[in-house]
Amino acid sequence: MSRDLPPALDELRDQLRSAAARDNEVERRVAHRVLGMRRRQWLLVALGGRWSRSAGSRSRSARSTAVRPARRRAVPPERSEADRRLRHVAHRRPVRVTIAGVTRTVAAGGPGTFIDVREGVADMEGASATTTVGGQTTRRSLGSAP
Amino acid sequence: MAMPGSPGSAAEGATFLVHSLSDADAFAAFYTLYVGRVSVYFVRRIFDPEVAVDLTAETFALALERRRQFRGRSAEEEQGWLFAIARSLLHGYWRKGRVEQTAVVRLGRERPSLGTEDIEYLHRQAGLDGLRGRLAEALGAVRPDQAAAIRARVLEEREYAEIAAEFRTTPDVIRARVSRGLKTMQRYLGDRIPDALDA
Repeated sequence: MSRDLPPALDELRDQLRSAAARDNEVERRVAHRVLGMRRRQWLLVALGGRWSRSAGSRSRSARSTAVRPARRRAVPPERSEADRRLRHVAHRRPVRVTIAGVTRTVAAGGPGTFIDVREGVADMEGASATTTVGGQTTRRSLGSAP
Repeated sequence: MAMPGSPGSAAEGATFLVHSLSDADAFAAFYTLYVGRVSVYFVRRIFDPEVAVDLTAETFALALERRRQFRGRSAEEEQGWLFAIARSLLHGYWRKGRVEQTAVVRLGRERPSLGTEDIEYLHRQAGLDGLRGRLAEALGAVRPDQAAAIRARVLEEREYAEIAAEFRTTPDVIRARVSRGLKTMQRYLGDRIPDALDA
């Protein structure tokens, strides 16, 4: 293909081809990552009280555990609301996440923490998140996340 | 892949740039299709093979960086898009007297030193030998200091630093004299030299 080109222009062709390959690979990775982020689901873990996502409020008197699925947004109002309201009652209990028969324990951090539970996983059938606070264990199915 | 000059290559050229987003070989094919015309475009206006190759490299490096901005669908649009980059670089060279190689630097390319084969190729492709008479005539229309700089740089192929030392000035001044002189020559020649797009 390049037999008619002199050495300098032939060499430039090879360099451009390599640069195009590198650029395409970077772009492919970025696209894959963005796509993964769209698919990714996040768990909003609110510990130490009931938290109503629709109302954006919680009852401090009821000490129960709530593990709620949520989809992360560019500006997650749920997270901001939960952080503001629940930061002072953090229990920081670990959450066991089971997906496709594999269980891993993640540090939930304070209430309002998002936990990545779906990255790279297609089959969510039977997936669950479990946490125990004050002797009470709560199990939540992840298959029906919004 | 269609070869430059082969039947149907122009029609398929448009797909090269678009396909290059997923296939690096398509960009190499795009380059092969147009590099001759782009380099001729520069050589016929600058008459300096080294500068012409630098500008050609920068043109394709920018095309590589900006290929996602290309919205055309035909070979004509693709060619127009590429030569818009080339024209912009040429005017920048005439204005500043030096080649901006920002995209080439980002590409990580080192400036090659041209061999006899490269220079002969560019002269042959641009048909400079056949233009010698008209070029000499055009050189006569250029200011004496600029014509002297062009003779030293283009005809004698001396380094800018060496020419600057002889004229007791800086290499940047010599670069400016050469580029402005060449611009005057190009204006003088006008359409008497066939454009690369017609080559």
